[in-house]
Amino acid sequence: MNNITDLKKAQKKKREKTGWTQEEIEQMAAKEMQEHKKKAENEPEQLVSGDMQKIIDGDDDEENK
Amino acid sequence: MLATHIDAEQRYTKLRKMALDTAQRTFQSAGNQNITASAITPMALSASKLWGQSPSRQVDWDWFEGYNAFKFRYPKRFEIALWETNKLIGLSMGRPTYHGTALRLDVVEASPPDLGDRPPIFDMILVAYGIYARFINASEIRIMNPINDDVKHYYESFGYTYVDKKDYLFREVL
Repeated sequence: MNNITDLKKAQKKKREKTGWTQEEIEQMAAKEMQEHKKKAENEPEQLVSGDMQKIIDGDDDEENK
Repeated sequence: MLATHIDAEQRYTKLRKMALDTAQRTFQSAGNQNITASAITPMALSASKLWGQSPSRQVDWDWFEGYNAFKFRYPKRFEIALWETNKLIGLSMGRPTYHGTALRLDVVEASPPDLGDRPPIFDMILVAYGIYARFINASEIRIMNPINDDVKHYYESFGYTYVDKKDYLFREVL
């Protein structure tokens, strides 16, 4: 278990330094597409979310500046 | 407009195009041959006006006004229009947080159900955000302001965690 955690930490550290290659990005996208397939069957008929008025008014709701 | 803003717009337009091209290839490899991903073009904005005629639409958003405000303010934004053949089925836009550590999905809307059947869009939208997040090296995706419990629970099924205080859901980009 510790080895997996250590590996994840090491991978995260590497990402922060060097980012992702195009090949890695494509592989992750294909993997996620496959993972999402089953869940997508439960999509609500009315899929909508967010606050367009905030965007139009220019309200910046970020606190971590 | 500042030169730095114009420069950022140009640089991130290239990244957005790369992300959309990668997303397009991913969708097609997964068997979604009729789906096209594009930027939010004048054609997409024009097509979104049809949504305003739907009695079942849950929001009265003006995508033309919203998109232009967003585009002006956020050169590092991500934007996507999804088409099934020639029919607009979804729009979304988001942006990196101030320090660039997370990518926000600010708004998303699928075509209203009374305007015809459509395939699910959110799985593809999330894949596209994941691609752009990796291009800009963001380590988290945040889905802002879920509009009701139905969508909130749906997002949670993709492994996102709700933060009550700030009204968003997040997931690490691993």
